[in-house]
Parts: sequence; structure tokens; C-alpha cells
Amino acid sequence: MKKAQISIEWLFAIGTLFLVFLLVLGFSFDKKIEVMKTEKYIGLRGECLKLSEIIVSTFLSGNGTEIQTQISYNASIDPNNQLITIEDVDLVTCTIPINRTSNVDLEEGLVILSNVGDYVDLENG
Amino acid sequence: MGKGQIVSLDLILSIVVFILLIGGIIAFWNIYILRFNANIKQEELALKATKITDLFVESQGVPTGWNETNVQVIGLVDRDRRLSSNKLASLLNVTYAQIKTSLNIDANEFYFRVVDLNGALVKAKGNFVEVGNSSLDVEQVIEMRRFALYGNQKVVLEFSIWE
Repeated sequence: MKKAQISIEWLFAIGTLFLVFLLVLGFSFDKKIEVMKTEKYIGLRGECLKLSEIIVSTFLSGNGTEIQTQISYNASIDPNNQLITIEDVDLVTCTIPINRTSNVDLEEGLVILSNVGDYVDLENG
Repeated sequence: MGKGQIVSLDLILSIVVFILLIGGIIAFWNIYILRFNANIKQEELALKATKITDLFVESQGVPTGWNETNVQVIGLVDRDRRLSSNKLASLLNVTYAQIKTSLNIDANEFYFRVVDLNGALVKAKGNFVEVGNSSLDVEQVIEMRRFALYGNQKVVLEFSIWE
């Protein structure tokens, strides 16, 4: 009888531990997804900021400037709202301080930026 | 029975310690995430400030002889890093909201001024070059300083931006 009671205690103990480890597993899985999402977001954001920086550089470098760059995701430029949107599973946007750019959807790959009369024209190469 | 109770007490104690540890890790994680997000915001503000001050000291603006009624891009120089008194005066005629819209920083606040190397405000067409309200009581503010020439004088453009 005593032995049986100990077994039930052990059963309870193991069950509790199992529950605790399940909780930890759930927590770590949740955090892993969070880290992966953040990693993805950082990549998209980096691409957006890079494009924004290159657009401003092309503008500031003056008429006749041409810059080529590679982008790893599709992007769209909206000069009316002065926004760049990087498209992947998630959308990431960043701002540009000028509205003198073409309104264009770019595909990943080579992008050519040209300054024509203080207007930045973007197109896929 | 006595043995069983001792085992249970040990177990309960160890579980409590374990849960406390896990709680500590979760708390640390959340603090780290908060700091990380704050860093991202600060970095974005710093990049905005860099681009805006780049425009100010490297661009003539669009149109080249812009004023408060036709400004598309705000630039404050005649030549690279040589400030134009006409453009500084025009900037003072543009409203704070109009400047924010032009620079696409509607969600932010900013403070801009031009001072000489002693920290005294510089005048353009009789008015001190100062736009917006100082950010003294704001916690996270990005301040950017750029050197330029104004006439034959070395001056500093100070631009602060915050949320």
C-alpha cells in the first residue's frame, strides 16, 4: 500500500515536470518564431533603407548621375506618399525625404537609378 | 508517508525555483525585445536625420529658387555646403507643418537652427534661423550637427528629431 502511494507521487511528479517542460518547449518555440520573424523584418528593413539611401544619394549627386544596385526583394516606390514598400511575405515600408522619384514597381535584381533634371528615375536593368 | 511528504516538498521547491528561473528568463527576454525595438526606432530616426541634413547642406532644393509657395524639395545651399541667405529666409516663411510634410516626417517632431561656432543663432534677412521647438524634455531625441559655410563664416546646422 505504501509502495503504491509512492508510485502515485512519482506519477504526479513526473506529470508535473512533463507539464513544466511542455510549457518551456512552447515558450522556446514561440520565441524561435519571434526571432525568425525579427530576422526577416531586419533583412527587409535593411533593403528598404538601402534603397532609400541610394535614391537620396542619386538625387544629391546631381543631374546625369546613374547608380546601379541589386535588390533582393520586390519593391515599390510611391513618390506621392514618399514611401518605399518592400514586398515579401510581410510588407515593410520606409520613408524618403523627397518626392522627385518615379512611381514604379521594381522586381528583385538589378536596379538602375538615374538623375534626370533633379528627378530620380528607377527601373529594372 | 513521511518519506512521500519529503519527496513532494523537495519537488515543489524545485519546481518553484525552476518556474522562477523561467520567469526571470522571460522577463529578461521582454526587456531585451523592448530595448531592441527602441534601438531600431532610434536608428531609423538617425537615418532620417542624416538624409534630411544631407538634403539641407548638399541640395539647392527643387525648384532651385524655391520659396514657401512652390517648394518641392527643401535645400539650403547655393553650392555644396554653402548656405544661401535667400533659402534660409524662405525656410523661415515655410510653416512647421509644411516642412514636416515636405520631408515626410509627419509622425515626428523636429527642431532646426543654424548657429555660429560660439553657439549664437545666425540671422538670415534679419531673422534668426530657428524652426520648431527645442526638445529639452524629450527622452529619445536624435541630434545631428552639420558644418557649412554662410558667407565667409563657418556655421553649424543643428537638427533634432524625435517621435
